[in-house]
Amino acid sequence: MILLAHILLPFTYILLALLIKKASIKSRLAVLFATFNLLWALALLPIVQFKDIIVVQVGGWAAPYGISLVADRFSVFMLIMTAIVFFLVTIYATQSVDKARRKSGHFFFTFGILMGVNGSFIAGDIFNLYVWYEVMLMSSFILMSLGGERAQMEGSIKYLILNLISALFFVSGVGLLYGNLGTLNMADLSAIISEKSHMLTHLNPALILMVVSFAIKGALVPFFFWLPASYHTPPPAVSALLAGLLTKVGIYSLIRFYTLFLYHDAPFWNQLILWMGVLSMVIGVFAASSQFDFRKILSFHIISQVGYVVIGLGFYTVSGIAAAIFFLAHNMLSKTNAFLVAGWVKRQKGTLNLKTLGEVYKESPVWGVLFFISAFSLAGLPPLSGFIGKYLIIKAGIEANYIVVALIALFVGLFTLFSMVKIWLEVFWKDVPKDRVVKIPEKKRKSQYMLTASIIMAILIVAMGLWAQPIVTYCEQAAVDLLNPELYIDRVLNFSR
Amino acid sequence: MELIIAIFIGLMFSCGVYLILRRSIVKVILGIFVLSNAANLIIFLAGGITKSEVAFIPHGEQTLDPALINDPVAQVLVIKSIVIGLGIAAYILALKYRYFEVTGTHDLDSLKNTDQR
Amino acid sequence: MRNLILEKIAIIYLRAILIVSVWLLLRGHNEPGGGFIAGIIASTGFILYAIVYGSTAVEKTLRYNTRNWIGSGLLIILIAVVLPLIWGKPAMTSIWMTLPDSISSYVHIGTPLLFDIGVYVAVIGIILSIIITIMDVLKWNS
Repeated sequence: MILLAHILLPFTYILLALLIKKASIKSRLAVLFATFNLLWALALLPIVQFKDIIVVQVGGWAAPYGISLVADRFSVFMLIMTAIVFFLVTIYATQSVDKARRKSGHFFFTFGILMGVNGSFIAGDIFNLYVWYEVMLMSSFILMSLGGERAQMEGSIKYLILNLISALFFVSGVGLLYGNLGTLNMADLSAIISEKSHMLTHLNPALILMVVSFAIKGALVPFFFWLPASYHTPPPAVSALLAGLLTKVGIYSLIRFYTLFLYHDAPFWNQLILWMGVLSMVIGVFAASSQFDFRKILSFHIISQVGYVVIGLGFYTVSGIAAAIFFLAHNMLSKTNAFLVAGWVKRQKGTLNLKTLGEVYKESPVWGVLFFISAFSLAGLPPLSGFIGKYLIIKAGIEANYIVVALIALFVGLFTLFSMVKIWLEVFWKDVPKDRVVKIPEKKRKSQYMLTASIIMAILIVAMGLWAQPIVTYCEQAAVDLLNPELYIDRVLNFSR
Repeated sequence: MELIIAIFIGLMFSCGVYLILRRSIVKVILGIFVLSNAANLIIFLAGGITKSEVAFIPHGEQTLDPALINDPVAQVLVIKSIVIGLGIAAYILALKYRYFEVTGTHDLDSLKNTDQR
Repeated sequence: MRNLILEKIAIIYLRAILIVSVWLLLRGHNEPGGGFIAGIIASTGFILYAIVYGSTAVEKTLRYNTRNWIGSGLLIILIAVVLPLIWGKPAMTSIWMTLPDSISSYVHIGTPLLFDIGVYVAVIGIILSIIITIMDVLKWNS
């Protein structure tokens, strides 16, 4: 039950939203259930930190035959970050999303995303992982097209088709793997693969299909094209949620797969993943620097930042993986907050084109500071969380003797700073261009909940930078767990109740 | 038998890939459907093709000889992905309909307004 | 589509197919059948009815909105999932009622049946909401 609640809470909200008609009750219930989810995720932390990996065998069927739900330190950390992001975005959305969208089921589908994301963080077998992916994707497809504006339609068709192809790759991989090894439980698979070392090259076709599917979901370099084409089209609350959660699930699965299966054939995978990360980092940041749309710059930055996480994984040392986990968490907060600020600017100014915006700082210094915090956290300025994240990654790179990669990471950080300064100057600082078509300002709309959510997130970003030590220690413990999968395998397969 | 089905899956994949490379959105959608069915067939094939019974324990007995039955897991997986495919088919066709209403075109080449330039 | 023979057939078919689907629902778990298949089969009856009489007539025969059908189906599923926790077993464990000996060999009542009923209701709701939406869009109301 303790893990199943992460699936059943969103499920309960979904069925209540089907039975209840009033939009205002739905919004309140959404905030309530998001709070429950956050509290429950926090309650898992002491168990996994001081006791043991949490394993639930659904229906009481023993491990390789039934469905296992597993949460180790890494999963619980991701669950908590998801819950925080989701909670704050829900508060933000109660005000930011227009009433028509809220009535036609905005929260309904965001809870679908929550269910899928939570499910994929605790899934213990690969087909279950695929099912949670589909739950998450279906909800995100609908959220992306909800409202039916022209740009949204275009964005969602691209998003839909490329993500469906990634789902197909995943199913094909599952089929091949099942045909080869006859099991789907991740712990069991890992145990079988480590026994049959002669089969490694034989399994690579199936695994490569899956890794490509994760790379599409996580927007790694040759597969990222859907992300910048679609993330700037939906309402800002939706793109904040998608940017904060979805690509991270792909990366989570990549880390999980790497530490359970792929490391057996390390010479083949290590370089591949490392250089995929480096390319994502470089290409993402260059593409971002050339854009002139607030949300498009941030979307390209997702690609670049996912690259940082993946090179941390590619080093394959304790400090590398710990840095990757820390960076993942930092990125969820900072990126979501940057999108939240973009949402407020869009609401106030009606556009996000950098060329027509200006002087927003004069209008609202508070939002200016909020953007400053999240953007310069993304760029990696001390004392914000991004500084710690980048420092850890680069330090791990130097320790693992990947000096070139570490230098490239430093260099990319410079360009990140450049494009963040670009947004800062163009949107918040410069004078409004003279030739800009003056629009009659709409009547001032309240935005106190949006502000609250964004402030809380900014405080968390600063706190994560200032009090990083306990979090880094936790991440290192999680990395040690990941690098020694024997414990995971043992706990899942020899589960006794 | 496995060989024939494997070749058939390959054919389906090539048909699907051909279709998703077309310019018309409808053909791309059809390509997705063909590809998803091909992927389902891979799982089906992974269970192995044997001449045997459905995996149900007959009335009044307690156990069953595993040699007599098919692998039920593969079938469960296939039905799950068929159900997911049903939902996706309904959604994707609705999206296509709405897209055609909003823009009045079937052409994928006109879909370049949101791309990075 | 006004046609006397078709109208009569649609009604008879709907009733017959509902009985067949309930039979399939009840024989599931021990024999081929179950909630999903039964739900699909039951909704074919409603679809024929909708083609003949139009979508508003189907909504009237369903009594409740399709959203409520899906919602109550999910609610039944949730109950079936959570119920075993009362007995201190992991969620989704099958719990069977003990029945008198005379009928216990061919009647089994337990949480899997409840789960299947939930799936049945939800599947009917989902399929019909898809079909009704399509018919509304195409203005198929003779």
